[in-house]
Amino acid sequence: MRNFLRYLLHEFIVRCWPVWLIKKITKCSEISYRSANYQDLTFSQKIDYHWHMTFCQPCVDYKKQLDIIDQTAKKFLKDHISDEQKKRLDSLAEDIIKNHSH
Amino acid sequence: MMDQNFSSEEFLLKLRNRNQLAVAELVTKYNKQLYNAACGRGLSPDNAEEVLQSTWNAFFEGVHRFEGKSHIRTYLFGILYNKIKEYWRNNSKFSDSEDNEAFNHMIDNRYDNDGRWTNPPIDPERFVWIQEAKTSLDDCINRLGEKYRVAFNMKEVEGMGSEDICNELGLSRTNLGVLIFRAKNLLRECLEKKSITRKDV
Repeated sequence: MRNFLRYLLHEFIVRCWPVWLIKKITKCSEISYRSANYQDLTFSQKIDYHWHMTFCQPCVDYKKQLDIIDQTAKKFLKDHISDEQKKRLDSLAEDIIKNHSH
Repeated sequence: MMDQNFSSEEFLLKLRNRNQLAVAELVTKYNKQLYNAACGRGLSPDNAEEVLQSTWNAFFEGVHRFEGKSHIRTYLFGILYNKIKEYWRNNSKFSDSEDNEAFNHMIDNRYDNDGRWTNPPIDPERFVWIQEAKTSLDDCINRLGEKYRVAFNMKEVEGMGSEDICNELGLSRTNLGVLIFRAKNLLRECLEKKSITRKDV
């Protein structure tokens, strides 16, 4: 339903808005950059960003993909140590203990 | 041993005298945490081990100067972060532009001259499977250049603020923004290709 409304709004803008006004809309390439750096946007950039997201399906899909990557990276990579790394780390600890104690 | 005892005068005295039990307790307690912190800063496992070793060496060389005014963990992590900064200063070029052309080419294929999508992202529904496929993500992250991997790790995995990352890596906010944007795009492209391959199989 949301996607359909987004599509309708997009069509309305493309067909009914004058060209000079369409040219004022922030480009998708800029919105992609903002999607990747959302936390660092200013208030007005965020408003502009969300306005763009109300009618641009590819940018919404792009943002969803980035969210999936970020969440997955957090889930899998945060403090993850493989068994092989654990072994290497244990032997490194042994060396450090040997080298620095009497 | 309880955590707070590591900063006690008695324990510090043992450390200064290189008491084996005390050294072993401290190393066992913090070795893994320090390693995780080094990896979280984007170091590869080998480099993280190298930095870890030099951190412990610096710690034991300077333990007689540590007065116990702060927690020993704070002191240790302070040394680690300085060693990581030192490592980046010596080994990394964060502002080089050797791969600008390849990246610009990738971006040019995605947008037209007016900045509109010509080759839009695939449906996120087809992308969701990566949440269960750690190896794919690992593979794509390992393909990233070091500077991109570091920036992505610090920002998204460790959740550090942009200002802290810029201070640590000696970058401007704009440079960091570009690194993050490129890292995410390269990851997305890589995973999208894998996703399409998977769908076709």
